Amino acid sequence: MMPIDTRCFFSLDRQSEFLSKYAEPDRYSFLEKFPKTGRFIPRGSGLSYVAASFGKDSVSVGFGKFSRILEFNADAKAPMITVEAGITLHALHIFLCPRGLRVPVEPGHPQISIGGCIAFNVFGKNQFKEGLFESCVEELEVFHPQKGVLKCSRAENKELFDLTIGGMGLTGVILKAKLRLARIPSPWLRVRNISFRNLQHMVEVLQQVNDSADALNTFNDFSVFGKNMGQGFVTVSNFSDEHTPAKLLESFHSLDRRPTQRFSYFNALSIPVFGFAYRTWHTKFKSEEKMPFYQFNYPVAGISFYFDWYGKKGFIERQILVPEASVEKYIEKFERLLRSYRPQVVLGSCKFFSGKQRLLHFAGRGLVISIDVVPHTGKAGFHEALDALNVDMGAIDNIAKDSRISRELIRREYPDYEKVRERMAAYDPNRQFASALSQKLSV
Amino acid sequence: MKSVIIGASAGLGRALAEELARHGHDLFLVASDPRDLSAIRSDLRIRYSSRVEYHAGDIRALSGAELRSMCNSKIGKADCLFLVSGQSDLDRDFEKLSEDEITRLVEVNFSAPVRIATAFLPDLLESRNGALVGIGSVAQSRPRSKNTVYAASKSALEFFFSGLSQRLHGTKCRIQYYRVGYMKTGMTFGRRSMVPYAAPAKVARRIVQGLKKDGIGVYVPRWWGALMLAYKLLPGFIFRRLKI
Repeated sequence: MMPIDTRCFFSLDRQSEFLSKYAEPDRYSFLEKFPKTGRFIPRGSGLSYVAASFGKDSVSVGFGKFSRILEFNADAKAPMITVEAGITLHALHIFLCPRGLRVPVEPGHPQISIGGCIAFNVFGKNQFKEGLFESCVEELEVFHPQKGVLKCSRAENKELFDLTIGGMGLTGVILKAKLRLARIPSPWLRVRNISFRNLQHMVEVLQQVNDSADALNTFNDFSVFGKNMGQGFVTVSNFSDEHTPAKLLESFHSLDRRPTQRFSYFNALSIPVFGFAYRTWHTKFKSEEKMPFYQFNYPVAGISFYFDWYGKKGFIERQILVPEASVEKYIEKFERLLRSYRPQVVLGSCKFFSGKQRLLHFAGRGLVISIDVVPHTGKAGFHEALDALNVDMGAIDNIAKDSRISRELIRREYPDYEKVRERMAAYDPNRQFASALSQKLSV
Repeated sequence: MKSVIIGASAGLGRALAEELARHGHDLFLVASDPRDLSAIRSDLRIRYSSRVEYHAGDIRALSGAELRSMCNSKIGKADCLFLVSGQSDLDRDFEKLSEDEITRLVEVNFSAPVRIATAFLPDLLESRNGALVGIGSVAQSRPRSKNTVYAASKSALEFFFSGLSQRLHGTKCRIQYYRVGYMKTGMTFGRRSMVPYAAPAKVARRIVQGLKKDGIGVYVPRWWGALMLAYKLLPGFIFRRLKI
């Protein structure tokens, strides 16, 4: 038997908290000790916004100790790396960046594990160019207590491969992953900030710079409810041609810890001040800068205090993918909704997305709007009204970001929802892997 | 430099392997599970370009001479030997242990390390930078009613190291025996403690930094020394009543 402890786990947005059983193997002999019955859920770095790596009735199995590089091929035309799934983006970056390589798709915090990236099929700052994390996964090794260790790829065990990527850890424990790597022209980026007046103007600016940028994202200020609602700036980033070594940030604050602030710093008074200061600083004083790749790649590493500033009550993140054809209409209705309910939105951000939506993947062609909202602010019913707007306009919510998302909402937003449930049931009728999230969504 | 680590699959052994590879050592790793050793070998070879070889087997059944000859043929004569392997049964002791379990604890914690250290001694003495490192525990600081067979075996090992340090006096071979405090490893997983657990990587760094010195019964982390001194000075009539 694996030694089991009890720990208190919470989602990054602080909306879910559970006392959960926890095991943390550090040797491969755990494969033989793994119980054949019972409920489990793999846990990478435990940084998900939602309750994805723990649940009331499941044993969370932490794989942070499985963090080794197993194979590396840099010389070939297609560089590849095989790693244990517990390795973090930080550890990979420290190894790859000095060799002029990177994992092509990376989310914003270096502590996230590769297993986590696969389980949620995450995206990075360049989704419109590189797609989702699945685009760099070549092969996986998955362990299921009833089925043993299974290899899967696009050619072998295709069904398992398909269900595991974006499968929220429900197909078993990802042991190893073979990843495609991309070359980086330089460890430096040239970053430009272009300001815009409102959301309509933002879309125009994004369209102008979309083709030439290596990465794009925006900062939007939703604390202003007049004609300048959503004003902010587009950050256009391109790799520099400079080859001097960039500083690799060796340490950062872990996000896997209890919030240190009891009360939120964000309120109706501070949010507009913060928005104004942040916008002014980046457009007037830092409109152009040279940035090390690490700092650019993991912007959250330097500002992990941001999550603490919400205090014990946390925040609600809404990340919505609006289909390309409905962007203009959606923006109009979204603005009307904000004006009518006046929620306190601390941070807003937008980016273009490409690709095709399938299964429960947060994908498709259109505009992604993300907002971090202080809970229980503004007129009651904002989130429900936004849900209704999304269903009406064919937009989808990101399951990995929003703790309050319901089964019914997902069923209405994701056309493949029933198909995913059927395929999961066919693969594992006993549902040996389940989290609070998967149980809520009945996946 | 060429180093041998006995008990390299996880915890302190794995951390030492990484720290030594970072310092440019070639490594010969010994532990029971080839899957763990193979993963560590790949990782260290790729990240540090070190020469890393391994042998998987139960140290109770391995002959020291065979291990030495395997090491010589795979990476060459060893300069440093790290005896990290250890086993304890934190929940059972005395009459709750079977004879086989007692034999296993004594073999893993005492007899096997002694056999292996003795077998490698000629190579360590020959080396310009020879070092023999033994890993003990703070549990051996004062006998108590828990974990006693383990602590007694480790005390015996320290006794052996003390004797050996006299034998090695005047040679180039350095000898160290560390009493390591609580560490975040599989052995201590889920156990609550009033004192903080040290990260194996930090302990490994300290051990590698001390390779050029002699030292028997050195506490790592250092503050354990002060704590254990107070613990040892507790009068017997109080100590006997404590449930620790």
